[in-house]
Amino acid sequence: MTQHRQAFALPPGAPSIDQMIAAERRRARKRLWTGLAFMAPAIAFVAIFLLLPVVFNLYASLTQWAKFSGLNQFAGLANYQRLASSPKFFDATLNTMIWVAVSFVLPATIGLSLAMLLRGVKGEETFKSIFFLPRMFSATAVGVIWYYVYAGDGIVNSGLRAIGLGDLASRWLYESHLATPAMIVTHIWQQVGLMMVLLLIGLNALPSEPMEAAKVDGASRSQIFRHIVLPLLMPTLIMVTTVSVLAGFTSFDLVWVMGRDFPNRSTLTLSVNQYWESFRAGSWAYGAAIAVVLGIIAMSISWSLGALQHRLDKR
Amino acid sequence: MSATTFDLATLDFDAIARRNDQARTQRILLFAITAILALAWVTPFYYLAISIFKSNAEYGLGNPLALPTSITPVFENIAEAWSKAKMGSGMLNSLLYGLVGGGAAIFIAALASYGLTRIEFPGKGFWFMLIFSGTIFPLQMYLIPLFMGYNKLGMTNSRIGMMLFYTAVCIPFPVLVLRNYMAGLPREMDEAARIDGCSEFRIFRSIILPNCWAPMATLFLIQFTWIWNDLIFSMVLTSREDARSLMNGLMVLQGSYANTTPNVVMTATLLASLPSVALFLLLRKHFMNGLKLQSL
Amino acid sequence: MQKKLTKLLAAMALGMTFTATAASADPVTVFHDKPFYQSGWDGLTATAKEDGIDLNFSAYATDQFQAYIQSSLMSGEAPQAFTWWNGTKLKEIVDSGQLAPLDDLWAKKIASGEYDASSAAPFTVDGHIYGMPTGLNRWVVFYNKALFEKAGIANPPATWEELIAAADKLKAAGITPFNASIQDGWRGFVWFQELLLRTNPEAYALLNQGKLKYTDEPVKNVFKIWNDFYAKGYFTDPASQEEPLDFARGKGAMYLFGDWVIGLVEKGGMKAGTDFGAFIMPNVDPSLSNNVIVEGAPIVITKAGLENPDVVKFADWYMSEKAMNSWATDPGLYAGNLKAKTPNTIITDIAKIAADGKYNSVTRYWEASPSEIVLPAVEEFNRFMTNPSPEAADKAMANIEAIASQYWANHQ
Repeated sequence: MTQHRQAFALPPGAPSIDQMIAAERRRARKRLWTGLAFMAPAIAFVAIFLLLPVVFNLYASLTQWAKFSGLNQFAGLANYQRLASSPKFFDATLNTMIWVAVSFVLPATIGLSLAMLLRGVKGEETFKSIFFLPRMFSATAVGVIWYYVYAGDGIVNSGLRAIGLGDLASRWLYESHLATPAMIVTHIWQQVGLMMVLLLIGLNALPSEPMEAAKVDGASRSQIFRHIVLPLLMPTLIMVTTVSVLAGFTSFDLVWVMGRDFPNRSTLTLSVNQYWESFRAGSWAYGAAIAVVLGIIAMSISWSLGALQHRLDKR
Repeated sequence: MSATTFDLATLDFDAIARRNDQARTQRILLFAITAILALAWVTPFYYLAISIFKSNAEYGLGNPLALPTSITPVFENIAEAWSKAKMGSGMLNSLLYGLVGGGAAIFIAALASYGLTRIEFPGKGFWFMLIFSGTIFPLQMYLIPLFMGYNKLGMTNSRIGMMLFYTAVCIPFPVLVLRNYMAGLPREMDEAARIDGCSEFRIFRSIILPNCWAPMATLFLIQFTWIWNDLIFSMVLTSREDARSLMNGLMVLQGSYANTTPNVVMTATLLASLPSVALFLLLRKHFMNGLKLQSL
Repeated sequence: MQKKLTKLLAAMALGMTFTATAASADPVTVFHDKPFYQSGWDGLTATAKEDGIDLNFSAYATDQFQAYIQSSLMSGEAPQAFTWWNGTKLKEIVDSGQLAPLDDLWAKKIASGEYDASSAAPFTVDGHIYGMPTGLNRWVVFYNKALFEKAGIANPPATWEELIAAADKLKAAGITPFNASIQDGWRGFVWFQELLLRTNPEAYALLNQGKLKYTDEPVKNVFKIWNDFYAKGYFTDPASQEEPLDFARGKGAMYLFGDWVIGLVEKGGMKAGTDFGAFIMPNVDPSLSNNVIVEGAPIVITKAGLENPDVVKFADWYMSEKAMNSWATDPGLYAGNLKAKTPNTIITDIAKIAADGKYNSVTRYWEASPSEIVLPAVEEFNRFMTNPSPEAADKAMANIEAIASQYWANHQ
């Protein structure tokens, strides 16, 4: 400020510096209020319907909650202790971890293979639409369709019998070692189209010079792919992986619909376990604790992948 | 491309022809692989498509992939699915939630993005992070509190309640996209109007908004389909038929066995999916643009 | 163009909101999780219209229904009339203080000779009656007459030995004796409760009161028999999606279930009485007392409902001969009204057998044990049925006992 005073020689009759500062302050205040007015609806909606619930969920997970009368006392970490000793929670967590592990690797890999396969193939656009089509169906609809696909005499089993592999025909959605893999296959069938399109966008945005240069130097296709395309594509791959992992283990609709007959439905995934314990069995506070665990897993995944992305960006 | 001139004599024409041949067989092979994969991909849809033409007896017998013997059962299936799943009111509800929830969310997001990009004021980063934090929690963390809160306020089973929530949950992502987009619009556009003494809302409405129509339309498509396809929130926040969404009705139909046979459930599934699939096929370009937004 | 479009969309949305609210007049709405009685509910609605009562039945999937009722009771916004279960499940919601006792209505109906006081027993909690029956359903064994004949079985089995002999004969004729599945996730307890009741009725009562462990000898014995039956191939594939239709299609010759399934089997093309009959499962030891499982599914009314004259009028009408005649026609259920016609010969026959043999009515496991134990226990039963083995049985018993002992430790 002092520098300003020295720098300018004020013309006579102009407002004094103090007046100008006051006017600028008024304008700044007005800008603040206008800006906030523009943001107010968004802030209000997000705060009331999204952030407040998260806070309340955290609080509820620390209470005791009687089935028909509501939450009534603070209970510290009792719900979390119950989690730690529950075999169902353990099974559900294990299955959820399978979802996480598989969706880390498979959707992006298959999506990338499809993207590479599709590039330049005749009828690329049509194929793209075909692979993307399942994504336009809701998870509920997909779940219903595949519930019948996996049925005793559904497509999968009759297909296996038709090609002489009848021994492999199974009760896909009934056995604990088959249900989760079967559902993951369905999930991948639905999601891979999205991964493929996202990766195609990424591939098309890559600069072509390095590849041309490598070709001139006589590098083979696989060498080009491994040493040039893959590193350049890394940011997109990480983004795709984040999307697929988060979509995978929090998915409820698909598992709920397909798991209708599974003997231990509440152990299928944490999201189903959470819905079951709260909305079906009435242990609301306990269900809130499961939701917190889900939140922690989700945030640690997106944070670590975000950090990885950040490090790549810096390089 | 380098523009060096070739000495024709150094070129091995046989090798080029061999390479071309190789390339052709390779192309055909790739096409065949892709086609087979695509065929496998659509098998469940084929199964869906033929099942709706089968009567229950026909479905129960024989090969699930066999073609139907006549197409007439489809009318009975549609009638039964339509009335049992209350698809009429379900479709209206889903349409209402999608239009209002998606539309309001994007308008509100555009307002917020305008504030974030066009008006200078302190603490912007904080407010942006606040809105953006609406995307980092898994949806499961909202279920119990929303359900309890709605119950307390008598808002379960109300259309208003559903629209309000869907609006809220659809705001953060468009804010992220539109903020980036609006930041890219030249400042000169609105500075002139501001000097002429236009109000900020006027500038927003008549200068900025018309320039954002394309990304907004795409965002609307994305959010509309999300709402249309959502099951869990409709399951938790509505249970009465009059406020129930289409997907919820479908789930009830599938869950209430005994007198709904697979052919009817499949018919309901197809009917429930037609609108969003048709939207996709008609507006494929917009959807693919939407994915570009997502990958930013 | 864009503006017009926006306006049009806004107008559509608004219009839909308003027409929708205007359309919901106020008929008496009964909430239920039994959509498989749809045509029966429709019949009631039509019959009620004749008497000037505007009725509406609103269907849910079971899980969602229970969540909805529980939470709406919590918020004090429960629907005024809805279906529920008897036993511990009824007591739970009576304890929430929001159900209306229907003692006066029952007194009136008993005085008029339409109902017997014993029909109110399943719905009585702490001396008050809290429900109107949608059914008083005995759990019996249905048998396919054609398949019995094919296997050379003359009469339905009257003793445990005859039951086993019949099963072996069926097996020898290439017919699976028993139809049983885990469809929809709740059926696992059906054979468990029956086998326990047939081997040790005292143990059944003690187990439900928390005075017997799931790892004790009587339960072990049940799992042993159950596992033997599976080992001998007595049961159909548990992974069925259409259990009642499976019985109608002849996939299993005998079918242990509540008599409310008769209508569903008939929908599959078999006629009750002519194509299939029923018997009460015999005790393993003939010296044991005569028992039969009875399920009483009530419609309950909340206190707010009792203040609504429309609901009161509906309740009185619902228990009438006319309404129950409609209910006996479709879905073919007997719900205690003595003047209404009996739905079919099977129900008449079984009622006679039960009366002649002085059978005690025993509450179903689903309603007799606390739901905190029943829900996880049923999952364990389901898992055992999917892959039956002695090891699976031991695991199931241990898992249920872990939950039960924890529950009873907190509730006694």
